[in-house]
Amino acid sequence: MAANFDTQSDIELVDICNTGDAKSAEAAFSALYNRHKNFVVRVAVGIVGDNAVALDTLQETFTWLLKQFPPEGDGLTLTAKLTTLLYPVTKNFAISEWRRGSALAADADPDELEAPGTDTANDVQRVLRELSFQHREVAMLRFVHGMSLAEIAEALEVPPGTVKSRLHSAVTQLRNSPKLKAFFER
Amino acid sequence: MGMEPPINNDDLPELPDELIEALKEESAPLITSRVDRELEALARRAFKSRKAEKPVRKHRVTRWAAIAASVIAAVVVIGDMRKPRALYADHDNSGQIDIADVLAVAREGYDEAQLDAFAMQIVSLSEDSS
Repeated sequence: MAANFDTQSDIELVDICNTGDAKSAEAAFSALYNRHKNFVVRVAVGIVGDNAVALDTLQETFTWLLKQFPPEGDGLTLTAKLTTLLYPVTKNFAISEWRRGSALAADADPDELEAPGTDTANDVQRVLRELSFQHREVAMLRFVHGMSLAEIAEALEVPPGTVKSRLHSAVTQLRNSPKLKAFFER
Repeated sequence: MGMEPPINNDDLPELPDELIEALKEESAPLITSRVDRELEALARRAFKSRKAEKPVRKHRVTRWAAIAASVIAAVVVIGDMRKPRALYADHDNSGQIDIADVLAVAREGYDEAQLDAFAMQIVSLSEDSS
């Protein structure tokens, strides 16, 4: 009987991708893709605000993931949720894609990215765009993607204390925004 | 060296639920089935060279062969144990094969013709040796 890949953890699925036979590895990879594709696209949109770039980033991110597994790669050791590993990869691909299509220098700081957003953005999203990139990304990871402090710290490769500090600063800025005052008074 | 303080999510700043919902509303592009198919095809090609899992049936055949061999071995051993001992033998452990051995095996289920043949053999041997 075929294993139910949808109920297995990221760590178990990665293990099957590392060592399973062709059919199992393909099915496990497919389960990982379906589980995290929306996360990758939303992260990319949150960083660059461009749907086409986000879809390119999705393909590049999962192509990169595929290359980590044998026979092409040496295999992947996962100790937490896959999102902590996918976040920095997605971020780097998204920024690279964005640089390719813009006048930004190759070594430009992510904070130089114009805060993304679509015409349909609401007031909250507009205020979010006014935050610095570092503050915006911790706020997105915590409140939109529901990641824990430890997961954010691992994804950003910074100490938990730094995450906490950035998050406090981001929330303070949101709280002080006149446009969002109503949310905090309810 | 001091220990790392435990990571605690409890003292993280929170936002009102309605504000979080508004943050989540940012539209994301639709991932078309074409994108899904392209990545699935890529995965299929990447893992293609992996060896296929050995069929379970093969293991079953090996297991059944082992069971069959054990049964055959048991039948052979039991059959050998049930086989009557050789008739022409020193049944009473006297150190020689003589008429006393014929009498000793007379109660062991051999038929009369076999016993007669055994006795005749002993008699003829006795005559030869005298």
